[in-house]
Amino acid sequence: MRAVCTRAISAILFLAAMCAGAEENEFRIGPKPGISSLREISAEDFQAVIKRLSIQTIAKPGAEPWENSAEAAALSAQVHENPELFTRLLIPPGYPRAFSRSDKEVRARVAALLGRSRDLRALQPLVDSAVYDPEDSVRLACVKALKLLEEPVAMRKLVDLAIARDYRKYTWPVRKSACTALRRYGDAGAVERILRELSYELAGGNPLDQKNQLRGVSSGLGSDNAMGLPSAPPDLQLSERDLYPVLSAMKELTGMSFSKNEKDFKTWQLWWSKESAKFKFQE
Amino acid sequence: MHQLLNSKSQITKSKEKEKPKRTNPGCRAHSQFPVLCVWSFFGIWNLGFGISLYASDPNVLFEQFKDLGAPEPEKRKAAQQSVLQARSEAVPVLLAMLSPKQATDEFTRIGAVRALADAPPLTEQAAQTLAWTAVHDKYSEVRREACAAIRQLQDDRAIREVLRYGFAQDKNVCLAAAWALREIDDPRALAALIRGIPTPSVTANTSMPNQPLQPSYVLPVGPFGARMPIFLPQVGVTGVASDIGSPFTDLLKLVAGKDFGNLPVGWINWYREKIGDVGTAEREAYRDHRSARERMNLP
Repeated sequence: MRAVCTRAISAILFLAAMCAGAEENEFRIGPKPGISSLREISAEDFQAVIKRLSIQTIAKPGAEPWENSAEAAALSAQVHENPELFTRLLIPPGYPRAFSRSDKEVRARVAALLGRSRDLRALQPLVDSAVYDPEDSVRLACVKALKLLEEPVAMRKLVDLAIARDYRKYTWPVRKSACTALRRYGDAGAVERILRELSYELAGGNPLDQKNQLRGVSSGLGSDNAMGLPSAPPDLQLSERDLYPVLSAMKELTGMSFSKNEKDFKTWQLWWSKESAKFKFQE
Repeated sequence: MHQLLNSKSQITKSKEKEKPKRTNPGCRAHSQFPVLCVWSFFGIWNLGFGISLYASDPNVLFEQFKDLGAPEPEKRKAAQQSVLQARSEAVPVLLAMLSPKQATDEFTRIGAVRALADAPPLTEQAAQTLAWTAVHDKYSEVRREACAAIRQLQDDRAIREVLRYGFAQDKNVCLAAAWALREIDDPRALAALIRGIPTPSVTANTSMPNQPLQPSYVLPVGPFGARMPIFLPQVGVTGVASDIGSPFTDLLKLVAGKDFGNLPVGWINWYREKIGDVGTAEREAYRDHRSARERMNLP
């Protein structure tokens, strides 16, 4: 009986101690912020990776692609240890921080490796290469790799590039390349996302477009434009693609164009409500 | 004597016989069985309670959930599983992970927001935290993910909180809230903002009416359709307009990226076009079927 009492008391004390500990922990959940270490990568490391990528190996007809080989599996495991070693090989020669021997075959295989590894740290480099790489085969490999990552952030970043309003920084070729990447990515969510932005761009007119001025702007007594001064800026001589970046991206992405009513959001909305179920991106 | 010795030996034999009885472990365990049961019960209870407390310890959960943003997909899946298993204990830890004091990385925060969105309904605190994250988080993708979660859940409390941030004194917070509202794209929030626009009040002081030198209108109301001049008295008006600007129009301008002025009518037109209620065909039909009175801009 005495032993039972002792055990019961010890259990109660243990319970009280744990509860007290839990209360204290409410205010210090998680680790303290640390300093991330930076790694220096030597040229020999890059050379070793390029050698293992076995670019020179001629694939036999009917053989499995290199991405499914054991060497690729070993390399993709290495991606998790040091992703920067591989992401820097994605940068085309001549660009900042590029390795001079990363030609298009190397970049395409590195993109495939990064996709196979499904490492999230490769997302931003893959998005950049999917849009900016000068070689179409590399851009395609990057988009395929992005699909393997299964991360919606990739689609959003591509949409951001496709509908960028800064027409000086993101020229039409860049935005068109992003649209191509989105088409290859093949996510209908991109169309819905652009459609949402299109509603803001088209509704009520465009203050920069002389032919499609804002509609229903208040002026006169009681308004904030009592004198009725015109609010249109001078004609900036902008092209249609720069005046309507979202509309241009939508047309490029879907291949659709409504000649007369293309600046009418209702037309786009009705089209999407009919086509969304069976919509397929054109190659 | 011999008998005595015999009896003594018998006694000692009997004692020796008794001794093993006392030292028999089976019998002792049998006698102490209830004590052992209680011992083992408390032992197992302590162990189980300790394990459960350890498993629901916020620090332990925090370390497990940190893998929500792990680069390796296997770790991410395992962390998602652990969130699903510890549902009720998981929410406070996920909210703590979104705290600005935590040095969690971008994808961990994105994972935490997704985990919150996957466990509706949100608590009041969770809704407020999502709204805060949608406006204030230092990573743009985390803000966007929080907006996507709010849109997916259609959480009124979170939208109300984002709207509240839109009326903050700090212009940067207003801009961030406008960006979040545009990302959430909830028509109810936009309609509420338009409804909040005050109608400006205008005071007018009229002077004495003057007889005009020129007719105000020339209308075909004479005999045989002759055009007759209509002279109306003209009155000079001076007045003061108030309620011209409002925080609602300021926020709407930031959200829409366009300036339709301070009167509700312009914003209502914009809203109807934005939701696809009015298109080019409706606008043209309205323009073509206006009455003569309306074309002349008569009141």
